[in-house]
Amino acid sequence: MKMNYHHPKKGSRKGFVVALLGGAVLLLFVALSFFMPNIFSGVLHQAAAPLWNENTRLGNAFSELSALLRSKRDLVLENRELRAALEAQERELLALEVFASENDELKTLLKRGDEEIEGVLGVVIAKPPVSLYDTVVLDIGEEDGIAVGDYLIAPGNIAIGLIEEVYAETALASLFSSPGEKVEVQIGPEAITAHAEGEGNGMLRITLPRGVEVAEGMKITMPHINPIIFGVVAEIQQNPSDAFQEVYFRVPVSFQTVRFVKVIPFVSRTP
Amino acid sequence: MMARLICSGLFFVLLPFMPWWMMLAAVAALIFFFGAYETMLGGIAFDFLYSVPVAWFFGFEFFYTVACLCIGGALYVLKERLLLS
Repeated sequence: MKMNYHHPKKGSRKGFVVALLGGAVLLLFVALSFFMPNIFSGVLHQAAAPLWNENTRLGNAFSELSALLRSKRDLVLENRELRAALEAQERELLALEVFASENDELKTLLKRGDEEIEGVLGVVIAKPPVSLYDTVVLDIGEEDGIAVGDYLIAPGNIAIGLIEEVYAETALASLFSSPGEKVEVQIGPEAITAHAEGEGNGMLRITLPRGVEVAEGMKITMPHINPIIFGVVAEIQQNPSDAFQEVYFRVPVSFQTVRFVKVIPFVSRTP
Repeated sequence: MMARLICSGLFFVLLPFMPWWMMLAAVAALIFFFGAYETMLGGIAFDFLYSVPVAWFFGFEFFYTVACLCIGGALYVLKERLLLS
């Protein structure tokens, strides 16, 4: 019977060469991206853009088809739930209309009219969980006049991220909730300014002195004449031995459902 | 050989719109079953498409590439030890 013997020396030498090659490739790309940023990314984005666009179209068609295949009973139940939610929101809207007209009056008195936030509308063509980095890809780029540092606004005037890289026809944006991302925000009706840090998964954290009154459900906004919402306070953690409190807030929009965003010029941001 | 080529081609076509973890699993499967080490280049492509400097890791932006290289390296060693290669 023929026996097979393993040659550890030969294998380890080959492994060493493979590891060396892998390391060299990684170093080469790190160096190239450092000295020539956006060269490879630009080419790859241009190549992937038609695939992303087609995927968005197919995804929309698939969601319409799956809606058609759902049972009537499910649809009736969902319809009932949606009606109840709509009625509740209409009631809330009545109160908001009063506040909005009051706000308009105050702005007129102070000679600050409604400054419409001008922006460029973009379609989200790739979003988490496709990306590992909490980033989204938009179908607008340099040709549409957007720039690095511009803000991403989701429907409902909710700020969700900022543009990190701009290519000819596409742009890459990171979400404010990405771990380690820092952004300047205002808390509650008193507009206390603070720095929020991304925690991942749509959550951000602010560290405040314990004396500052914060409540769950309080709105976190961006400094602007028109209210741009960042999030809603979800949890407050206080330790009796600590002079500070941790305020966790959630972005009130699911990134998985966002299809359109408005890109507005840079407002303010911490380094 | 043909199966390896088709699977690798499919891998690169699907890379822009499949979840990152699924593509990482695909890298492992393709290397293990076909020895398709070229799929590790998918990590670099992925990073060029989606990565931004990660604030909590000194601005490093090649995590997916490193993950693919680690998987490739680990599977290479494993296959050597199991006498599969």
